[in-house]
This record gives sequence, C-alpha cells and structure tokens, in this order.
Amino acid sequence: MTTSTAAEPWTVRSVLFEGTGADPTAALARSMEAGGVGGAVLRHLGGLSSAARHEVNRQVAVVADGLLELDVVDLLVGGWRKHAALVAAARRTLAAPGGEEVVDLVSHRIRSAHRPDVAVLLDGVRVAKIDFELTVVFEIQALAAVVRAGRLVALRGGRCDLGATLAAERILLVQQHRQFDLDARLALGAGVELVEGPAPAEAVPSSLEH
Amino acid sequence: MLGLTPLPGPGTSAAASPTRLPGQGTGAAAPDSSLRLDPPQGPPGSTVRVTPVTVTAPDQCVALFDAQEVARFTCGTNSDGILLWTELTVPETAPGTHTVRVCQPECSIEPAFEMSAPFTVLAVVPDLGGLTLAEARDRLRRSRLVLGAVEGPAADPAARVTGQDPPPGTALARRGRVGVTVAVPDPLLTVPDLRGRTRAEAAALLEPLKLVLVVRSGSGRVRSQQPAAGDQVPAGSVVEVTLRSVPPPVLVTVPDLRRRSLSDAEAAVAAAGLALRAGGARDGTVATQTPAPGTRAPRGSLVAVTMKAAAPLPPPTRPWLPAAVAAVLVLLALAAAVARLRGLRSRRSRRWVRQHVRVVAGSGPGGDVATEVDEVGQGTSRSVGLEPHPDRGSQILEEVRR
Repeated sequence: MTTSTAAEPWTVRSVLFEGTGADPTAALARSMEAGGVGGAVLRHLGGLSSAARHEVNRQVAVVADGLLELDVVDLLVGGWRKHAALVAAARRTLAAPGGEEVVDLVSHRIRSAHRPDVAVLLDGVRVAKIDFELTVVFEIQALAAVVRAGRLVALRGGRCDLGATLAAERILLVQQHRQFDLDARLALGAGVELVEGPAPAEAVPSSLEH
Repeated sequence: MLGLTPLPGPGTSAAASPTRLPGQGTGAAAPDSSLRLDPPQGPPGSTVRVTPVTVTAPDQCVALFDAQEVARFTCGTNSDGILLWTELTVPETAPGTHTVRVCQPECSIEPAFEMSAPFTVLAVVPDLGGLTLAEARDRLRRSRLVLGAVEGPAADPAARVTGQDPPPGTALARRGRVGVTVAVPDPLLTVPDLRGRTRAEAAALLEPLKLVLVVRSGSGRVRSQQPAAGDQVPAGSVVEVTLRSVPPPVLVTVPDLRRRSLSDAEAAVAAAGLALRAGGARDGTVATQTPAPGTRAPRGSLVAVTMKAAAPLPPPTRPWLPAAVAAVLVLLALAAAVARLRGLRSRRSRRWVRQHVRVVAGSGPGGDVATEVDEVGQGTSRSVGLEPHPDRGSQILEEVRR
C-alpha cells in the first residue's frame, strides 16, 4: 500500500487498544486463555512440558497481535476505491491534468473483513491452525473528498463511527468503538491513488495526524 | 332660667286667659293676658319655656306645676319691650294633662294676676326586652301605656320580648300603644366548671355545649371564669377565662444513656432533672433512647429508653474445640506448604524454561515470519513453529440511506 507514516501509523491495534492502558499482547493472551482459544492445538503438543506449552500460548498472542498491524487508512481507501463517484472523479481528473473535483459523498459504510490464521507446526509438521476473524466497520457521514490527478488529496468534514472486533475460533477476544472527525484525524499528504495512473511529481505518502 | 322673648304673636304654644282672683282690687282692670308654654307637652324631666305675656311692668312672679312651685322669676316686659320668661323642668308625675300657673307676686296671697295653661305630660316607653308578654303588659300599664301589636308566638308562655316599637325612651301620649316582637329563647345551658383545667380541656368542654371560650390572659390552667360554673346561659354565649401565669419551662440537656445499666441510667436522668421510663430487658443495658442524647428537654420531662439484654455468656467450653482448632491450623499449614511448593515449582519451571526453551520470535510487518519455540531436553529437542498468515482482507462499500 502507498501509505506510510510520518509518525506512528494509525493501526487496527491502536483502534483496539489505544487509551485502554492494556498491553495488547498480554490482553490477547488473557482473552485467549479465558476463552480456551488454542486449547485443542495445545493438546497436539502433548510431548512438551507445561512450561513450553505456556510459552507457545504466549507466542500465539504475540503473533495475533502482529496480525493487527493494519493501517486504518489502507482499509478506508480500499473501500473508497470502490466508490463510483470517487472513481469517476479520479478518472476525469486524470484525463484533464490540473483539474480538481470536490465530491460530496453520501453517508456510506465501509466494512473491512479479514480472516488471518496461525499455523502451528511441531518439529516442522503442521499439526493445527488457529483461525482469527477481524472486522472493522466505518460508518461515514457528511464527507466531501477532494480529488486531483486521480488521487484523493484531501478530505473535508466527515464524521466517522468506527467499530472493530477480533475473534479467534469464534471466541470474541476484543472489541472497540470509536468516533472521530475524518478531516482532522487523517492527513493524506500528496494523496492516495484511487485509480491507476501516473505517479505524482513528488510522491509524498499519506500519513495520519497524531 | 330667666330670659327675654319678643312680644307674642300667633303660635302653637299653649296659652290661657288670665283670671282675676276673688277679692282682687276693684277698678283695676286686668290687661289681656295669657301664658305661653313651649313646648306644650313633654315627658317628665324635659324643659318647658314659660312666658307670661300679659304682664307689662316687670315684677316678681312664681310658677307652679299643678300645686308645686317650680320657679320664681321676674316677669313682664322690660324697657326694650322684650317679654321676660323662665324655664321649668317637668317634674316626675303621671302622664296626662296638668296645669302650669304663673302668679304675681304669689298665687296663695291675692295675686295681682294669675295665668294658667295646660301641659300634657307624656309617658316614656319602658324597656320591655326579655319580659314575658304579661310582664310587658304590666310594665306598660304602669307607664300609662298600652300593649299594641304582638308579633311572634304570643300564645307560648315561654315567649320573651325580643323587640319593641317604639324603642325604649320614646315619649308617647297617655295610652299610647307599644308593639312588641316575641320569640321563644333557646334553652339555657349550664356553664361547666372550668377551673383547674388546661385551655385545651376547657375548649373541649365548651365546644359540644356551643359555648365560646375566650381566654383573657395567662398560659397555664384556668384560674377563674365568667360566667361562673353553674350559671345558665344561652347557646353561643362567651365564657371568659383567666389562666394562671406559667413560667417558661427550664430546659435541660438529655444525657447519653446508651449502653448504661438501668440503675446508671436512672441516676443520670435524675441528675439532669428528668424522669425515666424503661422498657425491654430491665437487667440489660440501654439500647435506644428518646429524646436523643444532647436534646434540650423541659425539666421533669420523660426520657424513654429501650433496654436490651446483656450479651449472653460465652457457651461452655466444648470438648472438641481444641481438636477443631488444631485441624484448622494443620489445614492452614498445609495450604501454606502447597502454596510454597507451587511457588517453588513455578520458579523452577521458569528456570527450566530459561534453560530449555528457546523462542525465535518472528519479525517483520504483519507478523508473517514464523516464530519458533524450541524445547531442548536431555538428548531430545522439540520445536514448535507458529506460522502466521495475515489477510489484507476485503473492503465492502455500502451506501447508507437514513
């Protein structure tokens, strides 16, 4: 993806744990242990000592935490690339260099669904798999998007209700709900590509304000 | 009183011709004379102006009401041509026609002139209020008056005069009629004895009798009353009472009696000038009290306490108690030992993990590099790999219609 960070990226991990005061890995380990996630997997590791199994469990939480390293802007832009009005504006501005369009986006919802998994190997043999399910839903209202040269370069207004849930083996591990103003929270820098086209003269990646 | 009056003319005053008395000097023709009375009638006690108009030269005269001398005065016409007159007060006498005479100089010794005029004494209407009809009729008869129209239950012997026309004090001619209104009064009530009772008690006694309590002064019990106890009064009458003056109460502080024995509480209450009323287990201690400690209460007022039984004595020593205590202690020691053992195991386990488990953590964005946990034992080695498979996912865009 084109986005990178000027500061820390705003990730799904941040959405789920920012401001809670909890260490994400420890919180996930506790939730998985409480929900019995990976119990069946660990039974395959019967040859291991309990200390080793405990360590395996902790490492599963670490790996799960790594799965949350998703840029929120990537998820949003992934949705906007399917927005007909935005895409049409992007194509028009590509066809007419120097032009700019402001697109009023009606209230819309972007649902980003992810199904990562962690395979468990014992002495190199795959013995089990832990399925995760991550869902991030953006409810967006009153947003105008500025499109230039096929890129989304700025946002005006926009109120976003964001809900995120992480489950493993159908056991809810963590969920969070937040509200924010899109134009204040997101900075797109030189813009985000909405349709394929020539690269901007000076490629400055979009970033998040913190 | 002597006065002056102009020469007479036609008027309403009573007047009479002079009479030459027998034996009066011959050849002395009496002038045309008369006696004027103003007014010509009135009740006893009223004032009448008496003016002899036939006397020309001022001279001594005497005035008589019937045979009673009532005035001496100078009569005649003065140098200015003004008639001299006097005033007399109508004496107490029976209503009817009487005679006023004026003689010069005396009526009894061959007066030069004697003038007379009739004067009607009027009757004064008496106060008939509260009298029966018979009593009213008798009272009027004595005043030379007659009972006129009667309104109300005249046939009822209990009927009393409640109104009259004309009102008391009016002057009426002899045999004048006085109308009355009569009514049967409510039965009289006997005033109860209120002395020694509180204001509230007195009011409670009078209220059903339809008597009205009026307190003149004081704040204690009734000292005196008016009307007196036993008097008969009509309903609605006022009974005035005077109360004894009661000094303001002396306030004392209610002591804290809680957790005290009954005897202690009694002593404390007595010392404070209060009285105690105890309820509950009298051999216990005070559990609650009313008024609360610290309250200011009138000296002599009551402090109510509830006593609670003292805490029961400890039960007799049970023979199995030492064994039970010992068992508990053993269990506690056992639990402590287990906890210590688990702690030791945990520490050993962590040390063992440090010595035998090797974690090769994955790195890189997305955690897509495998993590390995290797357990190295004596002659054995087990390796657990965790292989993450991130999912960039898919985004679905939906338009929200609100």
